[in-house]
Amino acid sequence: MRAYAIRRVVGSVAVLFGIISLIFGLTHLAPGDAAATILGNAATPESIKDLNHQLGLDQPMIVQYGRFISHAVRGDFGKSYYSTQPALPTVIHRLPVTLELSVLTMIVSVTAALGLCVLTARVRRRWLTRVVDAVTLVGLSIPTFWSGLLLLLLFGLYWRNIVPAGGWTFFSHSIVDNLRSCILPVVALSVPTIALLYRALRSSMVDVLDRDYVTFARAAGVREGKVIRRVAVPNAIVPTATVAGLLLGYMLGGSLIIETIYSIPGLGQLVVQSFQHRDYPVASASVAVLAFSFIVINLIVDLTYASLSPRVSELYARKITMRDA
Amino acid sequence: MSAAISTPSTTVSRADKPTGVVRDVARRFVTDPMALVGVFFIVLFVGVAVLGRVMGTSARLQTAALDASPSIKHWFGTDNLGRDLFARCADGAVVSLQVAVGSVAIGLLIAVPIGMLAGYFATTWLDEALMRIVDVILSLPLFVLGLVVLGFMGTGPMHVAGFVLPPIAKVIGLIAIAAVPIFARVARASVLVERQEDYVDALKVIGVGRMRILFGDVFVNIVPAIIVQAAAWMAVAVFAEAGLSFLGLGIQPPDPTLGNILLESRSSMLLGQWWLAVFPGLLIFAVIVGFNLVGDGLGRAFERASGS
Repeated sequence: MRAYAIRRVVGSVAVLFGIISLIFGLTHLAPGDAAATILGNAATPESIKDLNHQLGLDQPMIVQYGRFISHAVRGDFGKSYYSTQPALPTVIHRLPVTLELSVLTMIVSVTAALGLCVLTARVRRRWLTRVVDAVTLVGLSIPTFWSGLLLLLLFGLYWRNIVPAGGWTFFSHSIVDNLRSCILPVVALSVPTIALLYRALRSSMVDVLDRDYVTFARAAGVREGKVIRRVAVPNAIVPTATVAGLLLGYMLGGSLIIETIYSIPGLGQLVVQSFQHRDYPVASASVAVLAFSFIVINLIVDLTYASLSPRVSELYARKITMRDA
Repeated sequence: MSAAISTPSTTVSRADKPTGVVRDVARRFVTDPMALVGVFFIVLFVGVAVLGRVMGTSARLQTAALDASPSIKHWFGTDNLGRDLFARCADGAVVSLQVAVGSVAIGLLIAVPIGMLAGYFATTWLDEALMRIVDVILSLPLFVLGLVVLGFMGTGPMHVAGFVLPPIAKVIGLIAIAAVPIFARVARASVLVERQEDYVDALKVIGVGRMRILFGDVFVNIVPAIIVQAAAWMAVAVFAEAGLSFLGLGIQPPDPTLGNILLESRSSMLLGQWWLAVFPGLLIFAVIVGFNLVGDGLGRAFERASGS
């Protein structure tokens, strides 16, 4: 277990380092002169040269790289070209909104997927299982950018004033309005995650229902509903931790799209806008934050899973990874 | 696949299987209703793309009435510049298909040899090195990777060694790179199972070279797993291309893609032009469902054919 944990932590740090290097490399491959972009129409050759000197862009590449890394490690990605605020705090400031949407989406998805799984677990409900399987396949195939647009169309044009279609009320301003502005985004974000979670749960459920301890519980006269809820479901949940990474990817990608559609001032919207405006310090900082959270959450999930299921670290001891098993 | 099966070495490898494996799988596939629904959706999508080519270029010009709702003349209606939405969607469908086929093909070409080598030399330094590189790519979600690469590099044409590649090349390349970890893992895991089979030892004993065993016999036997994954990734590729376009990171307007038509629809949709948001999305949705159903169907067909 300890060897596995150390390996995963070191690996994650290395990956993060790689991503920061990638950001540096790509910002310097980017077309257009940053100084000319900042100065806009007022640019003269002298003022561009001055600003380049001020930003340190006239120094050798290797020096710039070293400085970029040492600053990035300390959380300094420079100042926004537009607001002249430091980039990282600007990004952190946007996090709570995205976090709120993600947590609500998780709660909705886990509840719905578990509910569906309990419904389809009974042997005699084969037709119901078919229907739910088909519906979740459809759910997994609806692109978030389309479901988000359709909800906006329905509630913004035809059924107006039921729920807010777009915009955002901050939690500190009004809790009720805040939750109301979450409704459409969370529904759009939950569709694929419910489907993904249900499919993972269902396949592990099928496996669990075949186990001896389930047969034993039934033979001992425990009612079927109780067997499913108290015996099968708890055992079926653990293996689904392996889709957590995928789920997180869906949610991050989804937040970029949904926040853009509904004009929600979260991290996703900031990332998209900063690239559109070529605000590279903010873009770098937000990509770094996204990558950092993705990697850290994945790390936590993997380590928790490994400690719950000793087989993983045993497999590691034999130098074969979990995914081959 | 059938050509490979007739080589003498492969008859050693799968003496226990009937020779008509391909025909067997095909029969199971065409009798699977869900898979056929999938095929239907894909054919529909390709049909729209082909029809758009047949219609000619006049429909793409700004000649029709502005903001016309769907009618016999304009099946999907027209946009606020008077362009026929069906013609634009058909052009977008062509882009989707190019990206899906191109990125999956390139991804397979890169990933399968990597995964197979890693699997055959599992637990050696070669395996470690190859899979670590693959892990770095996997550590970023597709849209974040797209944002980093296309956001910083821009979406214009790319100049490589004197050649000018069109903007679509960047999108294809990016999605191919994102596919590499998935394909490589599948190839690796399949080879890990396959190399413990008796036929591998038998071939070694009769003096067949390691690389010939790996890229000849073992390869033929992991093809099913790879085909299933490739079909599923066509769906991901269509989704990713449309999503990147929707974020303004793909092919830029006025060149239509299904994603950027949807992006443009956002501003006029709330004035009542529902068709701009409905039809392009419906096409994307149909082809994604299609590829997913076909992928699942192929998986079932191969599974039952191998008797496991």
